[in-house]
Amino acid sequence: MSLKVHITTEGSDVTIAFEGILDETSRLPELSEPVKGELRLDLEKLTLINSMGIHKWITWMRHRTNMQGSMVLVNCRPVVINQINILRGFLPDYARVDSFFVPYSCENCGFDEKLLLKRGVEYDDQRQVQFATEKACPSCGGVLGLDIMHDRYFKFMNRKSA
Amino acid sequence: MRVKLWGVRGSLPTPLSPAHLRERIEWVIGEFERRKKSWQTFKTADFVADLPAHVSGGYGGNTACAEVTHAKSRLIIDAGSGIRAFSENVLTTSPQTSEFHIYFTHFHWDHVIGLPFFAPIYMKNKIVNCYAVHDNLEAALRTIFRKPNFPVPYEVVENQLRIHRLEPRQPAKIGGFTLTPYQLDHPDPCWGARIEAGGKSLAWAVDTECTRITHEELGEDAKLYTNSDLLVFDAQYSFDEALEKINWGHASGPIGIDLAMRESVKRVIFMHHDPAASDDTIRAAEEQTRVYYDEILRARKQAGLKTPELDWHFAHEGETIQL
Repeated sequence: MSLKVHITTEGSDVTIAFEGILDETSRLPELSEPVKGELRLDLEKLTLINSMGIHKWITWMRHRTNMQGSMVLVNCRPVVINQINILRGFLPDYARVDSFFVPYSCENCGFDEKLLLKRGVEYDDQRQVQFATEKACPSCGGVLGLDIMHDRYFKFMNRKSA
Repeated sequence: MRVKLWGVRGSLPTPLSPAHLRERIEWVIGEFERRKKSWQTFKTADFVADLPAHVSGGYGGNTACAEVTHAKSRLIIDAGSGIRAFSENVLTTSPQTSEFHIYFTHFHWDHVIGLPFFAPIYMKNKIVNCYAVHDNLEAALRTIFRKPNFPVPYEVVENQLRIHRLEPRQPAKIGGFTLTPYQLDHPDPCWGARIEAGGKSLAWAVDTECTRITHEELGEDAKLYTNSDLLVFDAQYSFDEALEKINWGHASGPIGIDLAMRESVKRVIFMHHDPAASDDTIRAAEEQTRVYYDEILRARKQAGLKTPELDWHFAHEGETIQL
């Protein structure tokens, strides 16, 4: 599935929602004017990013450095968080993550779900994260645990920009 | 087809320094003492065999040179400093060999610096065929054998050398091989090669940044990669370094992984390691590529895409790959 982009404007703020696969064939949007308010990059429907896509992404992000407002990434799926952790540059110093998902799964029945963690609610600028690492599985009543390696997944929060 | 890598370092020959060697010896002795206590039956040979490859042998410091053999045919790719060891080896193991074939991808120093130390070029009973796409192949070789670059003049080796210019993207017969040059993305013109023999194919793509990144952007040069049995690819930098070093002409492991997956390559060897990188640093870049590879496979599976499994690793000088 190729990358689709949806742009919405509200006052001086602009939201760009990405959907599909970010790879070498992706076309990233050109903005006709610098964003004066907040530029929100909604990554909830981004299903895959490869290294060539990250090359494109980083080049595109660099061109956004002349924007006048702030840049935030929201609704980051695990695929995005994993790539931020593996390959530097995906998240530049001037951007921050305002919300991201953590995946849970039940070893007993295989049920899985994701929880959205939000800046100012589950975590803060001091990189303190507070959320339940285990809960009852709504499918079988067993234990629904984090489906990530904790330290590796949250490594991105130690970055200046996170 | 068999490929032996006589030199895998990029840009500059990089010997292990005395300080690094001492540091490594200290680390190995410490590890030896630590493990000896915990093993019930301890054998020194087992300990050495169990050491990480980048510690027990290192990645190697000689610059690009590969020996490709098939049946009785032998082809050398580039004459970096690694060719000196090949020269010693071939004159010892096959002294009767009367004719050699060297394909030059380009003439940056690290790819030609070993040529004056390739002994057969001084032997009257040997012929050394030199191949390149570039019009200035002979001029480039003459520059090497000219004072103050080297004391022996070109005229001394001229009778042994045969100069062959290859056409871009046109297959040429060299011994039992079919070699087709394809252009790479490097600051000076650099021509990789697809080398075929016995139903196997080697794609040589070292010294490339992959600035033409999509299949369409590569155009005719995509044929270099598609369905090759072995891709030898440029991983001079870690992914992060490559992002900073735009137009330096080199790539990284993750880019090679994605390229190989897309072009249905079966196996990848990464080389042209950065001369500024220690063995530990190269190992870290290899590990970063490993984590990326695992993650991209997982992500592709989740996205319902094909998950082509690749056999790949970072090259060590002296290793042999059988196709």
